[in-house]
Amino acid sequence: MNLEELKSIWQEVTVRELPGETLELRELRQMLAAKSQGAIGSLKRMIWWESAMILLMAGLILTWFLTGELAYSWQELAAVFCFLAVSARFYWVKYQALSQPMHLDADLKTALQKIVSALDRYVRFYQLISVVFVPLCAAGGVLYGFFRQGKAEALDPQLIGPPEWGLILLVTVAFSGAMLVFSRWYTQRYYLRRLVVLKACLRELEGEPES
Amino acid sequence: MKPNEQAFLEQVGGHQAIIHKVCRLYCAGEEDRSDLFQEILLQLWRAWPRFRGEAKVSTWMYRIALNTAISDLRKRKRQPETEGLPVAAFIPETEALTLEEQEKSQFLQAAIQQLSPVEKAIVMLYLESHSYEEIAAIIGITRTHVGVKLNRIKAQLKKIIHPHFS
Repeated sequence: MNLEELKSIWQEVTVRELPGETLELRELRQMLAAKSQGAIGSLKRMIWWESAMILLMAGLILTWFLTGELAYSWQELAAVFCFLAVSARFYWVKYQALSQPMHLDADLKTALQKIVSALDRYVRFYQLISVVFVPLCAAGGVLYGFFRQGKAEALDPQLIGPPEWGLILLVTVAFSGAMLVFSRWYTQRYYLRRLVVLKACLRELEGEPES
Repeated sequence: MKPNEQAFLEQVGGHQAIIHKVCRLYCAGEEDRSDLFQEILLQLWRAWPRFRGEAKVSTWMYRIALNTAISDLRKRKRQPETEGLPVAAFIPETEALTLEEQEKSQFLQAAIQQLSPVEKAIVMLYLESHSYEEIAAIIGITRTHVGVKLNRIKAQLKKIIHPHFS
C-alpha cells in the first residue's frame, strides 16, 4: 500500500463521515456566546476574581477605619494599602503576561514562539513572587504582630529584641522554603509539563533540516 | 445579530470541516473534541477582525485551528493512547467503505496518532493535498524543511502500516 492510496482513503473517509458532524449556524452562534475554556482564559478569570477580593478587602478596611470600628493608626492603614498596591501591581503584571497577543493567526512556529515566551515569563515571575514577596509579607505580618502586642502607638524598632528578629528570620526562611516547594509543584502541575511539550514542538520546527 | 458575526459564521460554517478534522486529529474522546471545537471557534472569532483576506479563508482557519489544538494547555480528559488499544478505537466504522478500506483507514488513523503534534499537523495537510508551499506557510518552515519532515513521516507511517498490508 503506497501513501497516495492512503491519501485517497483519508479523503474518502473524511468526505463520508464529516457531513454527519456538520453544525448548523444556530449551533455555531450558541458556541460563540460561551466563554473560552482554554487555560489562558481560565487564568485570566482567576486573576479578576483574586483582584476583586483584594479590592473588597481594601474597601472593608477603609470602611472600618472611617467608621472607627478598627483602632488602626494612619501608619498601619498606610502599610495595609501599600500591601494592597503591591498586590494590585502583582496581579496586573500577571494579567499583562497572559494578555500578550498569542498570534494564533500566525504560522505555527511564530505562534509557538510567542506562547512559549509568554508562559516562560509568567512562570518565572510567579516563582520569583512566590519565593520573595510572599515570605516578606509573612515576615512583615510577624513584625506587625510584635508591634501590636507592644501596644505601640507608632512603629518603633527598639521594641523588637534579638529573639524576635530571630523568629522573623526563621519565618522568612521557612516561608521561602515552603513557597519554593509549592511554586515548583504548582507550576509543574499547571504549566511546565505542557511547556515542555510546546518547547519540544518548537525545537522540532526550529531544527535545521538534515537532507 | 451583528452583520460581522453573520459574515463570520457563514465563512467559518462553510469551512467547518477543517475544525472537525483538526479536532479528530488531536482528541480521541467526543467531549474533548467538542471542547476543542468550541475553543477553536472562539479563537477564530477573536482573530476575525484582523482577517484581511490576504490568505484563503481555509489557510487562515487551518493556522488558527492547528495553533489552538497544539498550544491548548488543557489537560485532555482522554488522551489518545495508541499502545495497547485496538485501532478501531480511533475511528468510527464506516459502512460505505469496504472492509479492507476500513481496516486501512483505521491503521492510518492509529499510525498518525503515534506521531508528534507537529508531525500530525504536517501529515494532515499532506493528506488533504496541500502543496509543500501551503504547508510551509501554515507551519512556518521552509519548503525544504517540509520535504525533509514529510519523508521522515512517510517512512515512519510505512513502518507502522506496511507489516499489516504487505
